[in-house]
Amino acid sequence: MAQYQPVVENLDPPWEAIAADRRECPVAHVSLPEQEYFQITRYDLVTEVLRNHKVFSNIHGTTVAPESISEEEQVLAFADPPRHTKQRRLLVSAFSPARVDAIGPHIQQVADDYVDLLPPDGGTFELTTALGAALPVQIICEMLGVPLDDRDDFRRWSEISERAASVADRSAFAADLEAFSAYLTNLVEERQRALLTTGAGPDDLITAIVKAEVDGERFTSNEVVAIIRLLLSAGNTTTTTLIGNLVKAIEEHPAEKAKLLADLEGLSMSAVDEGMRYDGPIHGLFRTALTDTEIGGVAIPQGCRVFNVYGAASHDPSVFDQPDDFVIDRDFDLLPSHLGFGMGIHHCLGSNLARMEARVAIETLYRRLPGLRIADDFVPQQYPGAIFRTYGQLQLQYDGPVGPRTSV
Amino acid sequence: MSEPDRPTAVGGTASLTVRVDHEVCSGTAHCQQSMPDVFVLVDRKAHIRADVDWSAVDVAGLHDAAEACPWFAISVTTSPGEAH
Repeated sequence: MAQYQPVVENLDPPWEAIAADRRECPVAHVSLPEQEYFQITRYDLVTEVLRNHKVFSNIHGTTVAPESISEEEQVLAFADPPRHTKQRRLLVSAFSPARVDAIGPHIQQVADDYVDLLPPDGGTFELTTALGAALPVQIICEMLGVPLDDRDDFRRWSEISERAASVADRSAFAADLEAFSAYLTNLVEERQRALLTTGAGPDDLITAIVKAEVDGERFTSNEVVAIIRLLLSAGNTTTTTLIGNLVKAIEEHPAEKAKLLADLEGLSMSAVDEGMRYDGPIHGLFRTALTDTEIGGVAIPQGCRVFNVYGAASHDPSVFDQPDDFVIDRDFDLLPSHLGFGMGIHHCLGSNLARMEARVAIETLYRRLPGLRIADDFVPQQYPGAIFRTYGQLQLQYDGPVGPRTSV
Repeated sequence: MSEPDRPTAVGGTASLTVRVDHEVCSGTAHCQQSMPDVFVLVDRKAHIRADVDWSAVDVAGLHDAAEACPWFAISVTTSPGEAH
């Protein structure tokens, strides 16, 4: 019997209940009125499932509600090999460390632009609105070639897509999800027409996906839309949340914050990874067994769903010392991978970009805003849901004067 | 797969070449976790260890590591020019 029931109960922090499950029933059978699944909380067992993509499939959905995903919508995280492999192969170079390094200075400029909008002599602001959401949306819109005028709509639709993923009944979101698809279809079809009539298109990621040929065939517009929708919904709010959860963790651990401030550029990268390990945006995802199998000695029947609790694996004391503590200078080169970005063939495609954006955000905030802290009397509230760990809003305050831009 | 001008880690023998394309390698370390005798992570890039005992290396395991790499960064060539 699992103590930890994130689908029905909102626990914050959840680590104690998770630790009890990890010790007593690391593969727990959970039976709810509308859901039945096995919940896995041990690092070795979660990674065993994630590495075994031949048995544990993504095509029946990876979020709380089981889905029957049409073939055209089986893209990336909603696809299995060989389909997944072909699609991902086309996209890895666009999100490679080399490509992300190349746009690093631009990401810094955009972060500086948003900090420039804050009151120069100190004040309060909401992190998500002021930077956390605006930065990743602007960057991915630029990469995709989405007009900047549309980016507020994009952010809203992206947030709705993610909120819809966390609940069993999506009917309340249906109209927005449909509007999002219609918008994207139009954008893709514009590129396809440009390609047909002129043989070329703008130098952006949508055109690159539209042009890409796999085994001599191009993606249909529905497939391209599904890929873009997934890039957005998997990449935007998660990065926003990464930044928010990380700032919250830094502020709640004054000794770690002091280490960071003493060596901002030296520790910002390990801070980001520790943020992902300690309280990453994606708390866990589902897989579906394609055959009868077993995990940790527990029989998993064919068709049964498995909930891999990434957050639980990343807090496993057999892998990470002081797992429930936020330690800003862990040497992640010497540690097994945390599961903040998942593991295996579906490892987060945008992880290099997310790391860069979060790192720039943290450096810029703490470099330029003296006395940055959580606003007096503000108590962050964890959103309910099994898939995401997010506080939604984070009110911050600082003393001013705002420091100079890093970039020109 | 690797072009000559891309930053690449290379190791192997006369009949077996392992390459890691550092332009896409993102340091997720799946290869190091599955084959710690061959791969080692340095500054977020997978390198091929200098002390590999190639006669003892499980070649099928190398191919599995290449297939499991989320970045398609690893290539394994078992005879000159023939990529597997």
